[in-house]
Amino acid sequence: MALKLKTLAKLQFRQLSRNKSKGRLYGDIFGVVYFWIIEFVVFFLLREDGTTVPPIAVALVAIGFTIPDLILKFVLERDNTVMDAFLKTRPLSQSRWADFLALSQFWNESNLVMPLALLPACFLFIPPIGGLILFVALYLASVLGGYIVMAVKHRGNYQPEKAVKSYLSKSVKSARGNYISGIQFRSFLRSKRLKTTMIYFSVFFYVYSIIYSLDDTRPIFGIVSVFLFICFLSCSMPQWGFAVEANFFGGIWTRPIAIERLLANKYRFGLLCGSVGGLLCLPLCIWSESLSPFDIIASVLYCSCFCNLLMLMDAYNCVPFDMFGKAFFNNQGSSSTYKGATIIVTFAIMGVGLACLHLLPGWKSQVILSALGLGGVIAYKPFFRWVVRRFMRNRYKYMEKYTSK
Amino acid sequence: MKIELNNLKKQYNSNVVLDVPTLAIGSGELVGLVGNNGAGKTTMMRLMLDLIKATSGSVTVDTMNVAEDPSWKSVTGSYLDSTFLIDIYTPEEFFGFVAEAYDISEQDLKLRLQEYETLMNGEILGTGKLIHDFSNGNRQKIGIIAAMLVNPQLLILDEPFNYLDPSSQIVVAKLIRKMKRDLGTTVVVSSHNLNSINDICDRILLLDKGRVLMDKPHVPGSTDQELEDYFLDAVK
Repeated sequence: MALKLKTLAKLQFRQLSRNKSKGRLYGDIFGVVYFWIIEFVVFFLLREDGTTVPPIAVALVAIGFTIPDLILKFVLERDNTVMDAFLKTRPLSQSRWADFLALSQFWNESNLVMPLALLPACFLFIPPIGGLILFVALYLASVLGGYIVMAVKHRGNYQPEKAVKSYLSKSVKSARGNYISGIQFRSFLRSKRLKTTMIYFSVFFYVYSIIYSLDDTRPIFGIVSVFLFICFLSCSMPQWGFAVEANFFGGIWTRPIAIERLLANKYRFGLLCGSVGGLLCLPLCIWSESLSPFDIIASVLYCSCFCNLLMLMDAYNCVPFDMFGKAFFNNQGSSSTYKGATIIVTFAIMGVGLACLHLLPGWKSQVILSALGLGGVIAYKPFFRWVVRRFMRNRYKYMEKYTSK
Repeated sequence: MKIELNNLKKQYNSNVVLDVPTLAIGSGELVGLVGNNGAGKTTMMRLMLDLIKATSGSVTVDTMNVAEDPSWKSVTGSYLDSTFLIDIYTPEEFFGFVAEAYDISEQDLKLRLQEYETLMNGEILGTGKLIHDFSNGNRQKIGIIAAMLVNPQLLILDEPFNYLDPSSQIVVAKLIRKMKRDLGTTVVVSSHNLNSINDICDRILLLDKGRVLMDKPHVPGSTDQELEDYFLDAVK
């Protein structure tokens, strides 16, 4: 009497299919589609230029992606080889569990993202047979990467029992502070998973901003990467805020705390993050001939004040983000929070901003983006009142979602 | 504070989980809700706190409909489950959060926390731990303290004795009685522990499959044979 591999696999697929939020799936789709758009844009730009790229060069670049893919897994993945309590207390041998872990690497989404993201590159630049071989090679390399990370991160058959970290920096005497608005910042600092993800992607976008600002042969790439960096910082952080608060929304709802206040806190937090991003990008103007401080200011205003506002329109339509989740079958606490509608809004606002920067002469795009940003600052209070009215109309539906993880 | 439930009904599809034609809880009453699993105790409390939508009917607190007028929040303390706790905060920060929400001064917060020192038993403040890292019992205590800290006129507690050691159960029962006596707080408390309910409540409501089966005054400290018989009969 023992659990079979088939049962375990069925359990995992069922869990994935019944996960109401499909959050991780949407997040991965977002990443994949993002890369697809870039690849198609590069392909058509090169074709317009009449530039021919040798297939071997494409293959080498694609293979080069296995290294960041591996690094990404090292940074983001935690040891999830430990059995969940509901399995550990059942007749399931360690060897059977090890077999399942090995097998599950073949459909583990973190091993599928990289090859799928590079799928267009395989077939746009390389003949079909070669493209197929390259795609399979990338997939197997990613699976191999998954095995390496799993082996390195494996810490035994028990959840680590670390000494509890102390967060006490203030006594009750001096404990009065911004605890309502502070939820944003503290949740970011205290959730390892949230912090790691945010830092990783921030560094990723910032490094690309530096690289492209040094390359004046394609000036648009510099401002695009700076724009994406600022957009990520100002729009992502507030989005996570509601998913974190959803965990304890009952405790907020039953207290005299206005929803407008929660929204305004997130808006200001996004503004702060975007401004910090803008300040980090300003030095890039020193060595970049194509990047102007006004582009950066316009990007900050547009992303932090306008996009951030639009993104918050539907932010409460989320499921709780389990910041402390562990073990295998709980998706490492990531069963939230990207929604299909959010992805559409994200692409739309990014598209508008990028189209402005690309198609309009410098000062025109700066004026338009800044004007939209300033419009956001002027309109945010009435806008949030409208958002709150929408929230209140459907509040029970949302609150039910928060409690039914 | 007076609470009234008028034609209150909650149903999921065709399944009626709560159906209370009328119920009034007077100001300063300490009401215990009892009933087996699925009786509708928590649903009733969630409706009182406007956490779920009533299929029909309303809950009013001092004539204010809780679904329309949020002013009840300023005078209500509640703890239903761990979703009322901010896991990423230390207890100090969480109490600070509550104080900020209710505009309680720093000095006042400190004084009020002293009243709960016996319950905290030196295990809650000053540990530096996040609420997430506390045991279920201590998390329960933090939630109860945060609800009572605001000196509410209405206190709603769902299963407050769960996870608590016997000594802490006695302390919580005393604190609830004291709050009612000193502040005239209206208290609604649910529990599966009949002894605790018998000890503190002056009115007991027995719920069964969403309906109020029994509603009777009670002398705190006495036992209710009719109530005990109901639960004994349920297993026969």
